[in-house]
Amino acid sequence: MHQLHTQTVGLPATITFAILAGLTVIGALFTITRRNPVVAVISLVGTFFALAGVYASLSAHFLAILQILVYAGAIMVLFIFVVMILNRDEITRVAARGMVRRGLGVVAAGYVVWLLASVVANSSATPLLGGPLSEPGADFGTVASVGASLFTDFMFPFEAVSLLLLVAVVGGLVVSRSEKQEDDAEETARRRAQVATEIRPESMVGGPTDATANHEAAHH
Amino acid sequence: MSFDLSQLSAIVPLIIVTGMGCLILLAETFARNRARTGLASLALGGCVFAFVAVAAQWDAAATKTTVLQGMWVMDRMALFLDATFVATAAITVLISGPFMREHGFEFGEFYGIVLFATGGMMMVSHADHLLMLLIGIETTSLAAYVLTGCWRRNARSSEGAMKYFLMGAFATGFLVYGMALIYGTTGGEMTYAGIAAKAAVSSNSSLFVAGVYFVLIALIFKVAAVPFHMWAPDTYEGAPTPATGFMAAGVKAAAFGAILRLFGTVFGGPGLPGEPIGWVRILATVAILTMTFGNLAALRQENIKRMLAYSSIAHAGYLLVGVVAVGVGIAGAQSAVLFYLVTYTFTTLGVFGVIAWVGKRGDERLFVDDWAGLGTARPALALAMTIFLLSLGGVPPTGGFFGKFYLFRAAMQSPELYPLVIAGVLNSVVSVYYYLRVVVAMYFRDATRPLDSYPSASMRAALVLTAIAVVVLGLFPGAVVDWAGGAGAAVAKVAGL
Repeated sequence: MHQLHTQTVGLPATITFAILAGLTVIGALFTITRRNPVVAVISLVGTFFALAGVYASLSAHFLAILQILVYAGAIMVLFIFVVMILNRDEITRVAARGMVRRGLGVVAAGYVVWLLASVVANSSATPLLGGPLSEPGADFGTVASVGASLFTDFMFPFEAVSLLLLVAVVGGLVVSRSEKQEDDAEETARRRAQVATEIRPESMVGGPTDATANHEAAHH
Repeated sequence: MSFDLSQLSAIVPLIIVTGMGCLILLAETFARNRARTGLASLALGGCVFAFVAVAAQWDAAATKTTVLQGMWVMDRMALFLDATFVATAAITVLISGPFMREHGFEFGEFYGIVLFATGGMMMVSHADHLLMLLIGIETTSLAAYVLTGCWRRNARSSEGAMKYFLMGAFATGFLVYGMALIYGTTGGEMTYAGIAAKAAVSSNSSLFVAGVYFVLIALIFKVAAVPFHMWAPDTYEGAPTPATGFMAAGVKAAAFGAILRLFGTVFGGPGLPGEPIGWVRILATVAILTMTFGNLAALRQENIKRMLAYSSIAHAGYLLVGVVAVGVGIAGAQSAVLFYLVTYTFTTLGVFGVIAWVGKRGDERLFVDDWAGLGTARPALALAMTIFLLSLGGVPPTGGFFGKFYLFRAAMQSPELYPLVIAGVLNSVVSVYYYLRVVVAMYFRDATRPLDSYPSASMRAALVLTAIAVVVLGLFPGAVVDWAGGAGAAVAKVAGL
C-alpha cells in the first residue's frame, strides 16, 4: 500500500482526491439533513458531480461523463420535477421517535464510522494483497474498452441487469396503479363473489345476504 | 473462456422462468378480467417446465463447472436450490390466484413478478461472481418489495413495503460497500474462486475483513436474523398472505444459498478455519440471539401472521446453526442446511396458504381467537394447519422434525457447538407452546363466528400438495436427504473440507 502510494499517487492527486471526496460527503450530509427538499436535491447534484470528479481522477473518464449525464442530469431533473409537483414546503419528519432512539442511532452510526476510520487508518500498515497494481493501460476507461468488457467478460451480468430493470419498471407500475384499475379488479371480485354465493351450498355460507352485505360494505 | 451459444444450455431454467414472466406481462395487457386464471396457469406451466429443466441438468452437474465467463456456476447445490425455488413459485401461484380474486386486487403482473423473483433467486444460487450475486439479490429484493406493497387498498401492505424497501436499500449499500472492499483488497478479484485463492493472505488486511463483515451483514439482513430483523414482522404481516409465504420461504432460501456458497467455500476454506476472520464465532452469537429473540417475541403475538413472522426469524436462527457448523468444517452440514430449507419451504408455504384460505373478503381472520372452532367447521383445513404447525415446531413424524434432527446432529459433531445445539433444542421446545396454542384454539374452543370461506380448487391442490410433502419428508426423508447430500458434498469437495 505504501509502495503504491509513493509509486503512483503523487501529492496533487491525493489533494484532489481529498477535495472531491470531501465534497461528496458534505453533499451527502446536506442531502439528508436539509428540511427543504429542493436544497436536499441540489446537494445531491453536488454529490454526484464530486463523485464524477473522483471517477475522472481514477482515469474512468467515460464513467465520469455518464455519471454527470445520467445521474446529475436526467435523474436529478426528474427528482426536482417530482419535488415541484408535490409542492410541499416541508416534508414531515419520519425519523425515529424519541430522544433515546435517536441517541442510540447516533451512537451506533458513530461507532461504525469510528470503526471504519480506524480500519482505513490501519490498512496502510498491511500489504495490499494482490501485489502492486499495474498502471492502467492507455485505453483504460475509454468508451471502446468499457464497451468491449461490457459485451465480452460482463455479457451475462449486462443481460441480467435488464431483468432487474424490468422488475423495477413493472414494480413501479404495479405500486402506482390507477384507482380505475383497482376498481375494475374490485368489481370483478364482487361479481365473482356474488356468483359464488349463489352457487355455494347454504350450509357452507353464513347466510348469503350476510356475505353480500359484506362485499357491498367493502366496495363502498 | 469465450462465449458460445452452447453455454446457454446452463441457464435454460432461468430463461424459462423469466421468459414465461415476460409472456405473462404481455398477455396481461390483453387479458380481460375473467382471463386472469389463464395467466396463473401460464405461470404454473412455466414452473413445471423449469422444474423439468432443472431435473434434466442434475446428472450432468455432478462435477462443478463454471460457464458464461465465470459468472454462472453449475453444481448440484445450485440445482437443488433451483428446484426449491421453482416449487415455491408454483405453490405461491396456486395460492395467490384465489386469494387475490377474493380480496379484489387480482392483477396479472403478480405472477410475472413471482417468476422474475424466482429468476433472481436462481442467479443468487448460481452466482460465482460478486456482480451476479448483487444483481440476483437486487432482482429478488425488488420483486419482494413490490409483492409486499401490491395490495394497494391495504394500508399495512404499503407500510410493510415501505419499511422493507428503505431498510433493504440500506442493506444493499452494505453489500456493495463490502464487495468494493473485497475487490480492492484482493487486487481486483470478483470471482469466488479468485477471492478464495487470495482470502488466506487477504484476511491479514483489516479492510478485507471489514468487507467480509459488510457482506455478511447484508446477507443476514435478507434472512432476517437478529439484530437485522426489524423489518420482518411488519413486512410479513403487511404483505398479502401468499406473498408472505413466498418471501419467508423463497427469499430466505436464496439468501441462505448465498451464505452457504460465500461463507461455506470462499471465506471458509481450509486456509481459513474461521479464525482469522472470526465470522464463525460472531455468527454463532447471532444464531443464539436470533433463535431466542424470535421465539420469545412469537410467544406474545395474538396475530397469527405476526407470530409466524417471528417464528420465521427463529427458523433463520436454527439455519444459522447449520451455517456455523459449515464454518467449523463439519462434513455434511451443508446437506443438513439444504434439507432443512426444503422442509421449511414446504411447511411455510403451507402454513401461509392455510391463513390465506381461512379469511375471506373484508375479514382476514388473522387472530388466534378467530380460529376457534376451525377443527369442526373445516376439519381438513384444520388438519393441514396442525401438520404444518407441528412441522414448524419440529414434532415427529413431520418433515420439520428431520430437518432439525439432521441440522443439530451435524452441529453435535463438534463439542464447541454444544451450546448452540442446546439453545436450539430449548428454543424448539418453547416454540411448540405457541404453535400448539393455535391447534388448541382450532380443536378445543367453540367458534364465535361462522367459519366459511370461498371455494377454490387450486388452493386445495396447493395445500394437499404441501401437506403431503411435509408428511412424506417426515416419514421417508431418504430420497431428499440423498439429493441434499449430493448437493452438499459438491460444495464440500470444492472447499476441501
